[in-house]
Amino acid sequence: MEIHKTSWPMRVLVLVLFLYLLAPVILVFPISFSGDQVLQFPPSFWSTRWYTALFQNTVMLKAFWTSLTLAVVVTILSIVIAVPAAWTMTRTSFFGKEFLFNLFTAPLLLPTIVLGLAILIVFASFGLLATMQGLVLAHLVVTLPYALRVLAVSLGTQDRACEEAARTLGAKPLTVFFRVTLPMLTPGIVAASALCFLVSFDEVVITLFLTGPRISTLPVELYNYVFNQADPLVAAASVLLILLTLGVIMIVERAMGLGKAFVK
Amino acid sequence: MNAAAETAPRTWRSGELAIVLLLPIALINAIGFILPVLNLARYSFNQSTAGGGIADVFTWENWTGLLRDPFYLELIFNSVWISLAITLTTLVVSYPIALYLHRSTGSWKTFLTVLVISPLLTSAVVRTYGWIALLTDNGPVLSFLRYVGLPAPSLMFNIKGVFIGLTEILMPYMILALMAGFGRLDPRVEEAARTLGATPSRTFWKIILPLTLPGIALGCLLCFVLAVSSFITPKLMGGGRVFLLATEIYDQAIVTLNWPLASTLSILVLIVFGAALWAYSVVLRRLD
Amino acid sequence: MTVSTAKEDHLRLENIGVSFGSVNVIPSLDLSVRKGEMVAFLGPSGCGKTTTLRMIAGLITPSHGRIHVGGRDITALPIHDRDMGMVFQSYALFPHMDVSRNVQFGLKMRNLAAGEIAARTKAALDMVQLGHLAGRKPKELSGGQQQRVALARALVIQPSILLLDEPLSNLDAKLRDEMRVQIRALQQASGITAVFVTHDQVEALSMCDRIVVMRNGRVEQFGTPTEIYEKPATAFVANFVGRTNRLKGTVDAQGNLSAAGQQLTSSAKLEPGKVEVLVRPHRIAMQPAGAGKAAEGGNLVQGEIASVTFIGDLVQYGVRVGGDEIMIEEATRRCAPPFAAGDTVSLAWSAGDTLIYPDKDQ
Repeated sequence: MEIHKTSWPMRVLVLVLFLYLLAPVILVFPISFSGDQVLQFPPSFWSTRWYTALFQNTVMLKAFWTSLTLAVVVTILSIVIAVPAAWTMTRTSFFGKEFLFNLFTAPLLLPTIVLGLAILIVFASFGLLATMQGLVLAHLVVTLPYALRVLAVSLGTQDRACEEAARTLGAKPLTVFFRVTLPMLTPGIVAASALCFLVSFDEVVITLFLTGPRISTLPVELYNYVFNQADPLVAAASVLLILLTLGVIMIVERAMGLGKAFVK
Repeated sequence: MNAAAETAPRTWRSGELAIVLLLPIALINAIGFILPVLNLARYSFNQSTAGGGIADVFTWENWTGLLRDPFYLELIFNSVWISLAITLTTLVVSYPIALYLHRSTGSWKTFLTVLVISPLLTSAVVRTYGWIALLTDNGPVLSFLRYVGLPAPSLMFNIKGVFIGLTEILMPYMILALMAGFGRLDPRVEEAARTLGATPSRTFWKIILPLTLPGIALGCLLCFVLAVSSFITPKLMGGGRVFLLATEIYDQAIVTLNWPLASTLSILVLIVFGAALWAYSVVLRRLD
Repeated sequence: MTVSTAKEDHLRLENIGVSFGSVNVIPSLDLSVRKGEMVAFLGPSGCGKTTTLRMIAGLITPSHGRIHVGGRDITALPIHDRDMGMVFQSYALFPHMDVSRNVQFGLKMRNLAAGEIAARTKAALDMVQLGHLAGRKPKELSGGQQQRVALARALVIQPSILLLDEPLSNLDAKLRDEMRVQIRALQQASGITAVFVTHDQVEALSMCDRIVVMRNGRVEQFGTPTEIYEKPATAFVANFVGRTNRLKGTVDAQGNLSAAGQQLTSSAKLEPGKVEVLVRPHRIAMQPAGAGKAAEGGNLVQGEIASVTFIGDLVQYGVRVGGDEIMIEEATRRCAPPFAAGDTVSLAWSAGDTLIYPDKDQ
């Protein structure tokens, strides 16, 4: 289509804007190999000293394991809680269903700074501050809406005739769920898990309100670190975080590719 | 007789089953969302006492105090106005990318879309750090400006840096909203305009822009709301010298321990949200 | 509308009805299907044919009425105990199972021995000539192959009734013709009672022993294909099944029928008043003007050809008679159509081909 050919000035403009969009993410890669004591670009010499420093930083390492445990626990709980909820939302009819769905996904609409404060005040009286249970619960508040949405869409677009076919062939309701509905939901579960994992692993604002010296997550420790000194250590951590995100996305792509293969 | 009724699926009517299956999510929603938000509204009428204590009374003090204090009036005004400016800038820098993406096809489009979405999946701390690295005094941007002999104003710990960084951080949201809006832009409409003799620029102003206004409105709403409540970027790039609503909420809650005031500011943010949503619905109605 | 005798009935619907909210989709329906018979539910979309089928399967609970199969009341029986083999419009093959696991599913639900499951699965797949594709996933099959897997899966459980919900509507025309023959052959070979939902009159006429023509949740006519076509009970049936000319006419007090400004004869009983006159296009013989002769008591009218449309195996003529236009169909001949627009022709048809219905639109 001739008239859709983008003119050269437009292409240059788009390229510049893309550079702007990606600059901060790209820049952390060279900076992480800086040999300098302070943040400067270009570095005066290259080294891997900041990676070494990162792996010797016990605070960061501890925070990483906390984040990882937290994200895994939150992901598993999100799926276990959201699958029955999404099934109820898509397979049953009752008064007020729409309202409940909106209520359950509403936490996404609230700014995290407000939600963080609100949770802080309530959790303080429950004694949940700076505890793993408190962090898990707070993260579930934000991951469940994502999981519910993804799974409800996935269940809603499933061919209901497959469940009906199973029933006419003699399968009881529970058998239909475990042998037809759930296997067909696999791609949705993979997508929802990845989303929940990334949201939980990267969550920083709400977590900032709930962590303390006793327990802290990696994003919160990175935030604290940058707030005090912005040296290339954070660049090294950022590179690893970006690679982790990429890894999760690739796993999803693999699984979803396979998933799509047997859905369509 | 309608066709939908003919294929209406059989559904469970057993209410008990629904209750059991929804109980866990309802509990978490109640404990982690409804209760905290109601409590927050209540706290904005509590009294903060010396030493971080809280008196469980009902007073309008926080609200009246807020509206009488020039510091907070300026804070609110600045937050809204800076967020508006950031939203507008984000729109201007996102529109060409969205349009280009809309017109690309195949794997090139997929690749570019992934590039646009990928920053969303990267931690806000990481991206803000990237901007600090870019804009710091010995960073590439200022080094380059100095090298070519241009003025190199400090971009860290002031509103300029926050502005630049936040604009970039909001871009993916804007691009996605715009692309959703572009869905209703039929390429044949453009072709029709061109065959009828319109120049590319006239086609843009008369055809493309009007048709994509709903997407623009949605993107602006989204970005404004995110800008008003953004915390990480202003806090880290402002270095405690940029005061906005979100940073003040955090400081009041964690540093000053004045939870009633923090709650009042939070409710204020929600009121600003409501106003933005109202403005959006008015714009949308006008467009229809 | 029930015409069969009770003792041969395999499936019997008694005063069955269903409403969705305030919409009364099926007010009340009585219907009997004999053992080994294939019956079509034919009608436009929204006529309630699929709803009725789904009530038989148990996928929709009727608001009132009873369903009997083989003399047993199954109205309250849950779906999974009904023993129905259903073929869905979308085939509804389980995407995560291969062909043989799809077919086995119903047998496994019945907790049969592994050896029997294997043997019956193989027999079912051989029956639909898909034995060589047992390991494929559904998405690796063509539409026609998926359709046959769905059929094998429904038949392998040896159900008491085979329910087919528009099974051919997702296939292209040529494959549809093939599958029509194959499904009918399988049904007759196994002697199974089958209910076939379709909006396609050709499928209903060619495959089924009897046809239920439905409209707005009611039965318009229940009869053999010949009865439906030759003696349509209502103007709706005549219009829905096959093509027809539809003229406004009147019957005067003396019992004389006139339409399109012509005196006409009909073997139907004539009541004075406004009527609809229906004549099938291919039952009308067309001759050059003056050459036509009416059969004893038949119709003969003069007209002018207004249009000639070539549609492959047929040529359609539009002939202006009085103020109306009558459509005539003739099989295509090797030479050019013998008539051209503007020709004056005479049209002849027998009194038995003039169908008369009370005019409901007056």
